[in-house]
Amino acid sequence: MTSASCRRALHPIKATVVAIAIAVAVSMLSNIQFLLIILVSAIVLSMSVNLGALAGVAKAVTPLATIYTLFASIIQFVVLGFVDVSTILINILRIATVAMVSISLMSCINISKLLELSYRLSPSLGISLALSVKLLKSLPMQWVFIYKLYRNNLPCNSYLDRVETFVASVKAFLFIALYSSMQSVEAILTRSKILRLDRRR
Amino acid sequence: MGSILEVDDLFVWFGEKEILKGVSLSVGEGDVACVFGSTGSGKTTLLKVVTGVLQELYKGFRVEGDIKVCGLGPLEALRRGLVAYVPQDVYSFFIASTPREELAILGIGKCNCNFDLDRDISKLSDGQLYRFLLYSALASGAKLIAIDEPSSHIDWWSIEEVFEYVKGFAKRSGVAIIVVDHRVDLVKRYCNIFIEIGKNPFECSETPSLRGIDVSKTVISAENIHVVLNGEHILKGANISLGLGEAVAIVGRNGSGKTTLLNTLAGIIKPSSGKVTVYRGKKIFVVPQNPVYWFPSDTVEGVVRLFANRHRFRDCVEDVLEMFGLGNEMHKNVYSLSVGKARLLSLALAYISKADVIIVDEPTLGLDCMARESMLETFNHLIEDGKAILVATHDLDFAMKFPRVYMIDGGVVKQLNGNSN
Repeated sequence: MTSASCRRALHPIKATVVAIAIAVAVSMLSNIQFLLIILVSAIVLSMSVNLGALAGVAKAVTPLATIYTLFASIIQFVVLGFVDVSTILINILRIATVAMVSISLMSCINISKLLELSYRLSPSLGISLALSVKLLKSLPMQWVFIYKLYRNNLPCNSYLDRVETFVASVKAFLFIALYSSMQSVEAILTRSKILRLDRRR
Repeated sequence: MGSILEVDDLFVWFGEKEILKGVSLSVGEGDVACVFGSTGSGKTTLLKVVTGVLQELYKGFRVEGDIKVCGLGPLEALRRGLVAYVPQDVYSFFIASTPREELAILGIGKCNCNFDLDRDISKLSDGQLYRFLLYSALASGAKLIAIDEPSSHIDWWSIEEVFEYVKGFAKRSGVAIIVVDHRVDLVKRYCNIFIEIGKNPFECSETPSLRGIDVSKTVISAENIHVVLNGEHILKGANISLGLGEAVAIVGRNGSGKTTLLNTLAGIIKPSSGKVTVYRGKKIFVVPQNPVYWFPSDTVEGVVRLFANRHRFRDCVEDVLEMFGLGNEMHKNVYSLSVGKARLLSLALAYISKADVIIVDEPTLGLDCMARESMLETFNHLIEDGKAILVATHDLDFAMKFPRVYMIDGGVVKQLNGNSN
């Protein structure tokens, strides 16, 4: 089973390889035109497999990109004396593309199938990939909830308050992501069947 | 009957702090052993040590003493799949996206579960997830099954049936089960071995009931709200109101929509139809059930100071921590706190916020009877100060401590007689 909003189930290995290849490509490219083409392709690809994920990515990336632009502009101005708009734009395109591809493609992967296929190559690789996909699937939703919770629980009377609340929620989210990873490792350790899969094969 | 777990003179330290001191126990085939102790007494640490999880995964702990699981060291038993563990914080304990996928990964054919196996795991309630984990642990083929705080998760209507099943399973399959729980009165009926660590949790007086004062002003009201999430109709025309100086409990079975209702009233979820009105300028503070650890700093002091600064709390934060039984935890890492203490920290933050409405999802999670007693007393002080308290719980006995109780069943909310009647 894949996510409910998913239009079609993807081959887990192919989807993972495509996601990794796109992430590597955008991190190595510095040409705005190429990056724009890849982002448009990523949007089309995402829409074709999971329309619901697109809105989620947009919601998650917009505040992140805004804060990044703000801080990057201030730091560039203080250090360099001017704001290098093209560098900021390149990095925003990279963030948007990687988020788009990862979340859309990963939400359409069947984890048990991914584990089964990748286990043949290496048990550790299988478990690592399955866990990464699981975290990618659950963390965006977790992030949205945490951000709303902090916006509710901390006063937001000024723009500075809002920035502080956002920073606090990002910190909390990072701690939660680390904690979730530890819990997942505990889960694997105490799920005897997973550890014994390789012996059965 | 053969012995499955033997622990002799177990000591556990974290840095300089002694967590477990000279614990000895023996659990054989078909036995159900219950571990009791106050909040933060080291019960979960004991489970993680006997299952080998602590030694395998965590640094900074020193374990001394003799532990044998089926004649093997705990790490060897863990690697051979002889132990299974059902944790207190269940949300991150899954690998797959749906229960069916999880069962496929675990190689388990069927599950005695009362929910849709193709539903997204993140959409299942805490209690449903806990039951799923429990049944998959029982079906895993492990010889030692460690279960952490079942009554904090499984609803009042099902808990006895679940314990009956677990007890029968231990007898039929010859496995050893070790249960950690705060509900001493309930759990002891199903155990044949009792282990007590830390302070005596039996020494509790009757927990106080919550008082209600004359309601001065309605602070939250919901009229005919419907919530549909991912095509599922969770709330069907709920009507509820809450006034300043009032304490209200929402009670219901696992997965009945309690958390959705709380989040809708707090404004975290938008209703599909109907209207939620919050009186202008009134502050709401939400203590979530998930995640338990939702803090933006790694130390208790860092978390408390951040909230105190943002809410312009001028009183001494040390006194607040003392009031919630966290006086000695000030410099600790929040992730080293037990689930119960992390919940108390969340309640301390709610107090610091000076919010007009405090919403708490499953307030009894991980709390022993003394901590519950102290929490209800704090709620009474807040009510006297004109604050409003709204909680959601799966424990009908706890809910009946409140003057006004709403029951949620099949998405429909109806009012019950609380302690005022």
